[in-house]
Amino acid sequence: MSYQDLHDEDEVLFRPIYESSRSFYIIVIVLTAVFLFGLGCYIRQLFYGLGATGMDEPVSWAFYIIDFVFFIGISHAGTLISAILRLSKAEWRRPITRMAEVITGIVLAIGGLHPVIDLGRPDRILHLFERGRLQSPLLWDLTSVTAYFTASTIYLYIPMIPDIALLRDRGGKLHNFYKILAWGYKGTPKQKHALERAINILMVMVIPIAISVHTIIAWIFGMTLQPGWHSTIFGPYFVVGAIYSGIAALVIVMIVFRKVYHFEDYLKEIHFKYLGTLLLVVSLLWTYFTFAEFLTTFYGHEPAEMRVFLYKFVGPYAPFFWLMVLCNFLMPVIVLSNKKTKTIKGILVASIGVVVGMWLERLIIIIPTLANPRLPYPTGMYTPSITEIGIAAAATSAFVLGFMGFSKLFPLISIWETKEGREHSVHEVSMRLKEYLPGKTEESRVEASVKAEI
Amino acid sequence: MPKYGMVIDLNKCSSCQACVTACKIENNVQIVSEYDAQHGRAMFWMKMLTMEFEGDYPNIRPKTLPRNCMQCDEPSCIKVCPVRATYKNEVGIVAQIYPQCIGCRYCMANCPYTVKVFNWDRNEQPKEVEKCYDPDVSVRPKGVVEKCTFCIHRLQIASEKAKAEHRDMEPGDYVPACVETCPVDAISFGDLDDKKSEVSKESRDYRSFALLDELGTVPKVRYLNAIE
Amino acid sequence: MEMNRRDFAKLLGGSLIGFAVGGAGDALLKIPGMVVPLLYSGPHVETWKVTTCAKCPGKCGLRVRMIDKFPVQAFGNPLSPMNKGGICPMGLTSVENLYHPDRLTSPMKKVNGRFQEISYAEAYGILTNALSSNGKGKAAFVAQTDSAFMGGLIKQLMAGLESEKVVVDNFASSSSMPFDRAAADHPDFIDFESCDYIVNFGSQLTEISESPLYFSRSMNDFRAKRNEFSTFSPKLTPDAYKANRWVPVSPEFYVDVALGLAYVILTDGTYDKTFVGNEFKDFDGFKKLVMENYSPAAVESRTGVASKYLIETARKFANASAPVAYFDESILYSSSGMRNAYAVVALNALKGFAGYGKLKDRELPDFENKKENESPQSSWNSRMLIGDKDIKILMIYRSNFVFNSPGQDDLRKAISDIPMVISFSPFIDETSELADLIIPDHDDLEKLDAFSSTVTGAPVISTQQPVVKPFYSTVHTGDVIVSLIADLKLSKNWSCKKYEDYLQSYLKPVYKHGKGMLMNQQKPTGLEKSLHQAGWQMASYSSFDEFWQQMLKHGGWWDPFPQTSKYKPAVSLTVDHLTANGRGDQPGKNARGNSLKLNIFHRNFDYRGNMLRNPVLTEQFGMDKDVYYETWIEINPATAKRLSVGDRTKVKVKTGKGAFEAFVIYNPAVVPANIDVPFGLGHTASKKVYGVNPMQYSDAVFDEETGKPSLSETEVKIV
Repeated sequence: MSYQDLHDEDEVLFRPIYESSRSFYIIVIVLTAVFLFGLGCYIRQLFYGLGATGMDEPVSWAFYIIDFVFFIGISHAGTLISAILRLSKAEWRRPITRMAEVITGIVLAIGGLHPVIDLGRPDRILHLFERGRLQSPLLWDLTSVTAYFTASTIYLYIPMIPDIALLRDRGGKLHNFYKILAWGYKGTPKQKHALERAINILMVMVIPIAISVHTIIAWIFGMTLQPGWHSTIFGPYFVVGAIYSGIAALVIVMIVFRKVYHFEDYLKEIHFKYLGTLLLVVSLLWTYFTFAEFLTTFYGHEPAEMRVFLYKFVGPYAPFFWLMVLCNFLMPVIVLSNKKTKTIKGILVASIGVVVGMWLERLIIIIPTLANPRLPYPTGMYTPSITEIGIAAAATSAFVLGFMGFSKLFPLISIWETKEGREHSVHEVSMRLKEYLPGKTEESRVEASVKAEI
Repeated sequence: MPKYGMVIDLNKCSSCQACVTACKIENNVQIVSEYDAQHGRAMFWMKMLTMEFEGDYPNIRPKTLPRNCMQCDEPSCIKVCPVRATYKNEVGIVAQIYPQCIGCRYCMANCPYTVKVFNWDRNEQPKEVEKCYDPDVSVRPKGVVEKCTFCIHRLQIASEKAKAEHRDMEPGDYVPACVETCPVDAISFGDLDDKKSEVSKESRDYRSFALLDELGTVPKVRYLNAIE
Repeated sequence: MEMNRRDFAKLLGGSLIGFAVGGAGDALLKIPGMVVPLLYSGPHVETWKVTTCAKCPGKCGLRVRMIDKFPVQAFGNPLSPMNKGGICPMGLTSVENLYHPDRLTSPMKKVNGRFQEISYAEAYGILTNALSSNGKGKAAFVAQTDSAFMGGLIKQLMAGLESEKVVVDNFASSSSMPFDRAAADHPDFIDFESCDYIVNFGSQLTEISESPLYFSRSMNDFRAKRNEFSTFSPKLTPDAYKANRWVPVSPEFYVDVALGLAYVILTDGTYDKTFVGNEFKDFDGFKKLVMENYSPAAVESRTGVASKYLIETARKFANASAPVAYFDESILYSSSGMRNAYAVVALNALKGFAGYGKLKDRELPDFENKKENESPQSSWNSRMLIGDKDIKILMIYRSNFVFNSPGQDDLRKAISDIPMVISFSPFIDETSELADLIIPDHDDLEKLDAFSSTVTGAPVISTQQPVVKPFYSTVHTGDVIVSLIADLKLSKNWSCKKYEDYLQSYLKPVYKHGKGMLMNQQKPTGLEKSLHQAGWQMASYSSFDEFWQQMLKHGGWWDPFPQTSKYKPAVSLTVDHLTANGRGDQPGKNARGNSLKLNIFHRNFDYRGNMLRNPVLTEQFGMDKDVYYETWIEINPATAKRLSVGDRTKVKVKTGKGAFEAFVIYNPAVVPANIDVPFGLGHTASKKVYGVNPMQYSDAVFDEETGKPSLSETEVKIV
C-alpha cells in the first residue's frame, strides 16, 4: 500500500515525509560538506590543542562559549513557548508547537556539545561525573542542560505519538520504526486521556526547567568576580534574551518551511502577526533589561566596570554593540510596531535581525569582559580562527540538517492537534468565550456535560 | 600547619626580571611558538607588570611589580573548578592537579589577577630547553591550566628531607625559586602565621598592600610600597 | 630443566642482542622524543657545582645543579661576594647554551664559501702556518672577554707577533680607561660606606655594569640610608626608576652637563680647593673654559636640560661629603664619548674624588697585571680594520663586533678583504660567519677561566671551573694561544703548556700572600672577623695545588677585609681633552634640532649581542611590554599623536640606512624627541631571525678616540 492511495484532509502535512525534491538533496550535500569540514576542524583541534582557535589570554572563552549560550538561548524557542502557549490555551499554537519543540531538541543537542568542544581535555570529560564538584556553576549547568534536554525530548516525543501512530497506520518502508515509536497508540479514550495528562504534567514541569537552564548559564558568568559579568540581573536578562532569540528563530523556521513545504494553509498570516506581537513585547522587555544593566554600570562608574563599558560603547567592540542595538531594538521595534511593515516578510527580516543581534549580544557579554582584565594587561582584539568559524558553520548546518531529517520522518505540524482543533476546539473556544461573558447559557451546561463525558 | 605567604618589597625591586626567568626554568613552563607568543599565549607564571606611570615627563616613574599567583586565602578559582583540579592545600597554597584538569578554563575566566595560563598547544620545546628540564616538576600536556604553585615541589622535597633527618621544617628550608634568585632580596617568603617571621612582620607593615584587596580574595602575596 | 654451559651462552647472547635492539629502541619503536630521556635516565643523583658566570662583566658566582653529572639548572652562589646568591636572567639560563643545537662541534674551515668540519690538528696546523709565515706585524686581534687573564694572554700573543693591532673589549678596562688617561690611575670602587651622593651619567648600574647585582644591592642600601642620586640618561631604564631625579639628556651632551655642573660649583666656590690646588694640572685653563662656555643657561640652550636641575644637582653634589659622579663604559657610546668621560673625571676632581676608593693592597700581582693588561696600550680599535691593507691575519675571540656596531657593511667588506680570518667563537654568529677558520671555544660551563674584580671594594678572584667535560671537539682558546706562544716561540721563558698553567702562574702569589679566604663560607663576623683582620685565618689548604683545587671547587677567592684608601690621583687633564678636535672654540654641538633621533638602548638580557640565541631569554626579552620575537620601538605618546602612530601597531621606521618594521609601544617616559629601540634581536646568522638589529640602521658615527659607536645620533622618520 503506497501513500498515494491514501487520502487525508491534512495530506499536505504528510507529503514531505514521502517526497523529496532535487533541491533537497543538493542542500543536504552542501550542508553535509560544511558539517564535515567543521568536523575536520574539530579533529584537527583535538590533535593540536586549542591553539587552533583564536583564543588567547586573557580572552580564554570565545566563539564556542558564545555559540553555547546562543544555541541554548534559541532552544528556549521551543519548549518554553509551546508550553506557555499550551498552558494559556492559545488556540493558534496548534501548528506551531511541533516546530518549536523540534528546534529545542536539535539545538540543545548542538549547543550542549559546545562546552565539550571548548574543553582543553575532552578525553577527561568523565571527570565531571567521577570528581565533579557541585559547588561549581559548571556542574549546575551540566545538570540543568541534561535535565532540560531530557524533559524537552520527552515533551517533543509524547505529543508526537498520535502522529506516529497515523504514520504507522499508513504503512510504508519505515513501518516497523513507527510501530516501535508509536508505543501501541490506537487513540482509545483511555490512551488519549493518558496522553493529555502526560502533556499537561510535562508542560508545567518543563517551564521551570527551561527557565532554570538559562538562569544557570547566566550564573556561570554572574557568579564570577569579573566586571561586566558580576550582576544580579543576569539570570532574568539571559532568560528574556533566550526567549527573544528563540521566538525569532521559530519565526524563521516557520516561514522557511511554510514556503518549502507549502504549509500556507496551516501557517497563516495571523500566526505570524501573533508571533510578531510576542516578538515586539519581548524586544521591549529585552531593551528594558539592557538599559537597566548599562545604566547602573554607567551611573556607578566603577573603573573596572567602566573599562568594559567603554570597550563596548566606544572601544573596539562599538561596531558590534551598535549593530546589536540596531538589530535587537531599533529594527524589530520599528518593523513590528508599524502596520505596513508587519507583514510576513517584515517579520522575517526582523527575526533574522534579532537572531544576529542576539548572537552579537552574547559576543558582547563574553569578550569585552575577558579582554579587559582588572590588572593592566594588554587588551587585544579577539579574532576567531578558521577552526572556530568552521565549527560554528558546522553547528548551524547540523541544525538545518537535523531539521530536514526530522521533516523526512515526522510531520512538522501536529496533525492530530490540528484535527482536534478542527473537531473540538472551535466549539470549545466559543463555549469558553461565552463563559467569560456575563450570564449563563443553556449550551454551556450541555457543553460541560459533553466535556465530562470525554 | 604553617601558612605560606610572600611579601615583595617594591622599594628594593630593581625590575630585573630574574624572578621571571627563574620561575620559567624552575617550573618547566612552556616556551610557546612565535605565533602563539605574538597572539597573547605566552606563558609566564611570574610576570613583570607595569601598573601605571606616576607623574609627568620628565618627573615620571613607572610603577612596576612582579606578579605571580596571589595564592588567595579566598580563591575565586577553586570555587568554580568543576573537577577539583585546583584546590587549597593545608599550608594555604592554591595547588593544581594537572592530570585532573579538563581544560574548561573557568578558573582563568574567574581569576581577577589573570594569573592562570593555559597550554594552548602541544608542548614542543627547543632541544636546549628540554635538556634543562627541572626533573622535580612534571611537564604539562596541552589543554590544561597551570599557574604558580609557590614551587610546591620544593616544599615536598624540603619536608621529606626534614622528615628523613628527624626534625621539623625550618624557615629557610623551603623557598620558591624566585625568592632564591632575587638579586636584591626583595621577596621575602615564609610562614604568615608565625608572628616573628620576617614575612609576617612585613605583611603587617604600614607600607604593605595587596593587589585588588577590595575583592576580598585575601591574597597571601603582598607588596610593600616604594618609599618616595 | 637442565641448562648446560652452551645453552647459557646462547641465552646470554640472545639477551645481549635483545638489549642491543632495545637500546636502539627509540629508533625502532619511534618512542616520542620527550620520553626517551626518561627511559635512559640514570639514578637521578643530584649534585651541585660552583662556578662563575661569564655572560657579562658581573662575575657572579653560580651554583650549577647537576643531575647524573649533567647540568640542568643554575642559581646564584650565596657565598660569592659579587652576587650573594642572587642571579640575573642571563646567568639563570647559562645551562641552555651548553645544549644549544647551534653550537659548533668541531673546528671548521671555509672551503668555497662553505664551512667544512676538520680536525683540531689540521686547524691548528693552518693557524700556526699562517702566523709563522705571515704573522709578524701583520696580525690583528679583536677579543671580547671580561677575564683580565685571558685579555693579558691575548696581548702577550700579539706582543710576540709584534703587532699593536689588538683590542680586548673588556667592560672594566673600558670604564677605567678615561681615568687612566686623565689621571694615570683609576679608582677601584665606589666607597659606598662614605659616599652620600651620586650623579650617574648614563650607566645602567643595575642592568649592565661591572657588577649589576652588587650595584643593585648597594644602591638599595645607599637609598636606605636616605642618600640621593640623580641620573642623566637618554632613557628611563630600570636603574633610573629609583633615582631621586632623572634628567633626560642625550649622551653627546654629557660633557656639557658635567661641565655645566662644574660651572655652578666653580661659581659657588664649593670645590675642594686643596685637592684642586695640589693635583689638578691646568686648573686655570679648565676654569676658564668652563666659565666661558658652560653657564647653566648656555648648557640649557644647547642640551635642553633645565638649568634649575643643573643648579640643584650641582649644589647637592658640592654639598655632599663624598659625592661620586659615576660613569662607566656606556658614557663612551656617543660622538663625544671620551670628552664626556674626561668632563666627568674633571667634575669628580673638583670634589677630590671623595666618593671613590682604592685598594691599598697592591702586592697582589693579579691586580697589578690587571692594570697592565686591561688598559689599552694602543688606541687601536676594530673600526680601524676598515681600509687597513696591512692586516693579513685577523683573529677574533668571542667578539661579535660586526653585529654590535653600526656601519656593518664596511666592516664586513674589510674583514672579507683580509686573507686569513680566524674565529674562536663557539657559535656561528654574524662575525664568525665571515671567518675562514673557526676553532670553537668551549661553552662557559666546560671552561676554565678566572676573573678579577675590585668593584665591591674587595679584591675578588672568581674562578670558572669546567662543570662538565667538553661535549664536542671544541678547544679552549686559552689553550690554543698558550700553545701558539710556545710553538712559535713568541715569548722568552715560556713554560706554560696549558691555559691552566698560565692562570696558576698568576695566582701563585695570591696563595703566597696568604690573606683572604676562599668562597666557602660567609663573610666572617665577630671574633673570627677580628682574627681575620689580625692576619690569622683557618686555611683549608697546605699547598698551592690544594689551594688551586679548592679555589676551583668553591668558585674563587677574596679578601673580605682589604686595606683601602681614598683615590687621590694627580689629574693631568688639559683643555684639549675637553674640546673637540677642530672645534676648539665651540665646545658641544648645537641642539639636536627638531628631527627625531633613534636611541638604541640595552637591556639586561643581552650583553654585547651574544645572548639572544637563548630561547628563554629571547622569549622574555620584550615580556614586560608584551612584545614577543619582534623589535619594538618605544615612543612618547605626545610624539606618537603628532605623527599619528597608534599604540601597539606596526610601523616602518626609516633611517638613512634603510627602513625596518617595528611594533609601537607608547611609553610616556620616553624623550619626546627620541624613538627608543632595543638592541639584541636580529641575529641574521641564526636559523630563525627574530626582529631586526637596530645597529644596522644606525648612522656610522663614532667617538674618534675609542671607536665606540654612537647609539643615539641617527635621524629617524616614521613612515
